[in-house]
Amino acid sequence: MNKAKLSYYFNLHTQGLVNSYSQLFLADSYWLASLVILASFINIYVGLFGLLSVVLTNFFANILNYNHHFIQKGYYGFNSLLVGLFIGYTYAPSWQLLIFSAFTSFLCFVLTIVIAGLQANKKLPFLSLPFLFTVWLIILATPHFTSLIDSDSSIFIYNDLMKLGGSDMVNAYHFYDNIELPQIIDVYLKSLGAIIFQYNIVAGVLIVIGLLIFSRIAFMLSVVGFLSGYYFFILLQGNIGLINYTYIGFNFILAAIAIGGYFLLSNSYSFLLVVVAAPIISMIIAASATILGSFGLPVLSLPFNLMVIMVLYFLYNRVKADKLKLTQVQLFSPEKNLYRHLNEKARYNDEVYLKIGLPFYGEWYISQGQNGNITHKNEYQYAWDFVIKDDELKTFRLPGTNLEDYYCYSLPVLAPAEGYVVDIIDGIDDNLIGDVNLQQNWGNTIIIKHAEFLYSKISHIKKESFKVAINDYVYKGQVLASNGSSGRSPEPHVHFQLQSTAVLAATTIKYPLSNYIVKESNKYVYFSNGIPKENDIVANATINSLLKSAFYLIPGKKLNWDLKFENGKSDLVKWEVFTDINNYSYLYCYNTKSTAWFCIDSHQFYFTSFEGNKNSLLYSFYINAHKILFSYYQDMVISDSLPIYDVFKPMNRLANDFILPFKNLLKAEYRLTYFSIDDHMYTRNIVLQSNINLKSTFMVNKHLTGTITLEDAKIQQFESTMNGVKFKAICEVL
Amino acid sequence: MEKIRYERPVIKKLNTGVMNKYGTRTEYTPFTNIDGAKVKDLIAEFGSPLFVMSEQTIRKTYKDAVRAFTTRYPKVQFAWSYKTHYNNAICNVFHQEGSWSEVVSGFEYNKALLNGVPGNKIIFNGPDKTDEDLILAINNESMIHIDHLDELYRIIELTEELKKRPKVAIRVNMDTGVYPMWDRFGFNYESGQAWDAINKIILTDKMDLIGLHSHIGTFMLTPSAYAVAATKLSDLAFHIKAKFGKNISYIDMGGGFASRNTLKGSYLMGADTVPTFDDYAEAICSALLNSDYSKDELPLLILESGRSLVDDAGYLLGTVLANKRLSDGRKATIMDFGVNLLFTSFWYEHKISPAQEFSHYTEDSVIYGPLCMNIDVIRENVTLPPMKKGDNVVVHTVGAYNMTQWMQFISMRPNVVIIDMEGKPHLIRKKETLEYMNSLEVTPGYLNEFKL
Repeated sequence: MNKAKLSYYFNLHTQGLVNSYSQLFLADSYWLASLVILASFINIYVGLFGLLSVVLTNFFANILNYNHHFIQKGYYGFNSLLVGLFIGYTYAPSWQLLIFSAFTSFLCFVLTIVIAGLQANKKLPFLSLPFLFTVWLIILATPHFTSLIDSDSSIFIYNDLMKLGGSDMVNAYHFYDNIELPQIIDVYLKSLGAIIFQYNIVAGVLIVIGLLIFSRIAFMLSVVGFLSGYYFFILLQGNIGLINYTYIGFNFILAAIAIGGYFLLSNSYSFLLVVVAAPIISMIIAASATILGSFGLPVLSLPFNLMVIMVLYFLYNRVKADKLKLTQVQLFSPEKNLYRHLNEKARYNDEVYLKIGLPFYGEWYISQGQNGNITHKNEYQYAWDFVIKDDELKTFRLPGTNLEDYYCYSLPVLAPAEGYVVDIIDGIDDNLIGDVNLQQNWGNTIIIKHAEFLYSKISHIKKESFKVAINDYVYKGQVLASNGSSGRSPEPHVHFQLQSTAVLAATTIKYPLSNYIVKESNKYVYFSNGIPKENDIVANATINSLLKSAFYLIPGKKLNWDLKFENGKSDLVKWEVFTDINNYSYLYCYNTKSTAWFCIDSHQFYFTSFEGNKNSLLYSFYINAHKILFSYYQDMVISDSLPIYDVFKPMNRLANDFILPFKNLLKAEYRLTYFSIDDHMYTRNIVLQSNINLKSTFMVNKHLTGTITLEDAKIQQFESTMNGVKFKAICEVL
Repeated sequence: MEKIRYERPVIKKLNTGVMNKYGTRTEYTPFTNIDGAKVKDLIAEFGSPLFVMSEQTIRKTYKDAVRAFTTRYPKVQFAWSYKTHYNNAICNVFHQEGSWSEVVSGFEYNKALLNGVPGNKIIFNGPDKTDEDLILAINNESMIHIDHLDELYRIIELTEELKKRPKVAIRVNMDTGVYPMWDRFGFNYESGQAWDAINKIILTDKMDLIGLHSHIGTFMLTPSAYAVAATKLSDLAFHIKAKFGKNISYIDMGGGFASRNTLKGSYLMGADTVPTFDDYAEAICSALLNSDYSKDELPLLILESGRSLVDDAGYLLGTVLANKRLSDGRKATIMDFGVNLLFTSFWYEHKISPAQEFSHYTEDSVIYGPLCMNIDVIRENVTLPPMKKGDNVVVHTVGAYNMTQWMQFISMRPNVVIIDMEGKPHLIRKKETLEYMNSLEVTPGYLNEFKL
């Protein structure tokens, strides 16, 4: 085995080990894991058997060719870890126990695969079910294996501590374990410890610290869930001994973290759900104690498992998920999940799958908008009428008595998006000016099917001017016919609407138009998606070839940067564009081993996420070129939101994390100004200026600017600041 | 109350005609102001004769033209034809509206540069380009439209000296079904000359062929001819792509759109018969959209309209010098402007309006200019109300070519003013003075003295 392979396996197994500890709390925090490991060794045999079980399970998974990613994430390890901890806690250490634990590890691994497979069909997690089944099996089996003797270490813990750290350790443990704490805190901490079979305050404190470092929200959830369950017991005068002596209350804590922040996005509703769920867990605890007790089996984490799986299955079956939102992409931290959700909501909420453009060339005036005064009412409210107006706001040249006098008469009508022509109505005469045809009120009309339940309809077309036929496939912008004045049309105009069926008189639907501009006193305002209003002057946005070609980053393209800082430092930075097997494109920086993922569509380039060194040129580019529209309109400003998790340092986020589920007080605004262009037709130089504002109630607002210069179809120069030092980077694109 | 104006009696032969309740009243109305500026005030301030340009009309006409094309085709660019009216103020109105410039000589080229037009937005047309002009245009990366093979050969030589790749187009002439066929400019399409030039340009690989240009005629009254031209150019461009894999990035349809003037010999008034911008746009744009281009490779459409954009905006104000009766009994009126200023009166029947009140009686008359030269006839036959010496007239639709083709024959050129968007006049060209004329002349010493 060569060195690289060796280091790969070493990394795989150390990460797999550490993450298994982290997974107990549905986390991937090394800090939390380290503290949990430490806590597990307070009772040394518990810690040792736990560790051994994970190592063995990951080893089995590895040699049996199971998914390395899952090994590394600790998915296979954490149930075995719990089994190991249980064995170490329950039985007296012996070499027989060692052999026994190897087999229980393997059994647990097998059960993990089986249960994970069964649950996956229903999109449900396997949680610690494999652990439960393994442990119950062990408990029911051990009376038949006489070499396995119950351990007394948990009773005589001082013996072990004396062996380990002498009398100092014993004294220290004695001191901390006998601190007079209010009962509820004492129980809370010991319940946390109970997760890893360490029924003592020290373990509880270590885990609390770990939880706080890992996630403020998770910590809050643990407290809220615990309190709710605890007081429910007290209120109903339940058998408090269940909670106060077996510390079974950890079920409240784990369920609270899982429901309130892991599987769902944290918000007031998820907290409320946690408060409601805890009493139900209490009932499950009581009930399962009765049933399992008759078999001599412990309840352990069964209530947590049942509750979480129940809640998830319950929520999956809703028609619409609005208040309690399920986490779409799991980032193993309630904060990360929530920050990402907020960012995506701000960035992509108005995105539409199929982009509909305006059905004409040039600038047109909306004479009747949606919910207009004349005919766009009730079921026809989501429609537009377009005409052309001159500077004097007339739609015609004098005398205005003939169809030909009207500026928009006979102009080409275009396909607003690609699709199939499903219906054409032709043969209706164009009206004389002022006349209307109420019998065939739509006039000559074309209906195009763009997608299931998305049709567009253009009406009042000139008689016998169609250039396409029914069943034709048309591309976006293809000339369909000429505009006319047939149907209910006193003067030539284009009637345009979107509808969900192919029926001529179908009800209109509210669907945004994409990539259009609105002319406002000789300036243009760009809309990625929106509904243009009555009296707007609108046109399809044109794509600037330089912007598009400069940001057309395809796999294999290399960007070599000559980076020069103001303080004299300089560097040569190498990037390359790759696309992974899931079709996600990213820029990879060889110098810092950082990755920035991005997307390109017909109208824009935008970054989606970043991983790696934040003191890198790539990170600076990632935030300064976060979103680039391919249209150039002078002084146009586009805005976007930056991911808070990326741009705020952990310490600056800390205070916000505590209130995040209820209100976010951090804002990361991105603005890009289209500063200069040498020529719109043959563009060779464009300068873009980025403006980043980090707003926070907890600290001084931060401001960052950058300048991106494009030249001759390429990104040419990028200027900004890194750690307060200005830099200038010249790019060579290969 | 204003004193009732005296008008001399008119003796007129009675003609039978269609009866109407207004009797023999004419369509004439006095034309007393331009965009709110009074004709009398303008003459009082700037003298007579006087050329007046209306900024409002220029901008409106330009916008009409742009609208007609941009609502039919996605990529359109106008280039202002300098030869039509190269007064800097007028050019800059067009440049403010977004127009590039189209020039046909080194003089015009430098004028455009001085106006601030970037070199790469100047189209250099015409058969006369000196080495100096070509070098300037190549260095400025202007679009050079090659007119003949000798020019092509010279550019090839120059590229070797300058080590640059010029951006060129060729002018193509063709049969579009109209007479006369303009075959003196550029390379012929039907005979294969155009292909000969294209092959030479692409195979020598010294310059980039980025466009194709045609200019099928002037004062074209049939838009369909443009459709033929656009189709032929598209065809050429498409086959260049097929043969050499090179994209032609623009098609320049030249100019030649008619203004609202009435051509001599035409039966109806020009304003009623000439095609609109929409008619031309419809013909050209449909032809381009219906050609073989893929939707992403549609070329830029360049238009070099001059006359149709500026003719309507120009007025010539003048004053009656005298009235007289010709031997055949016709009435003649002598004005203070002649063919020296109104070159276009050779081919247009310019509309002339009196600038003051008059009765409804009219008289057929001949309008002469002030030149002591028999050809100086402004209108051979026009029906006008009787006018006295000192009365003022306004000649309409004179904005194109007159202020570039005028001459100091017998008298010098007058002031030119522009009426801005608020109706305020601004002098944009001073009238010529004797000092100015003399300053250009050089008299050898021995010719300085004489005795009479």
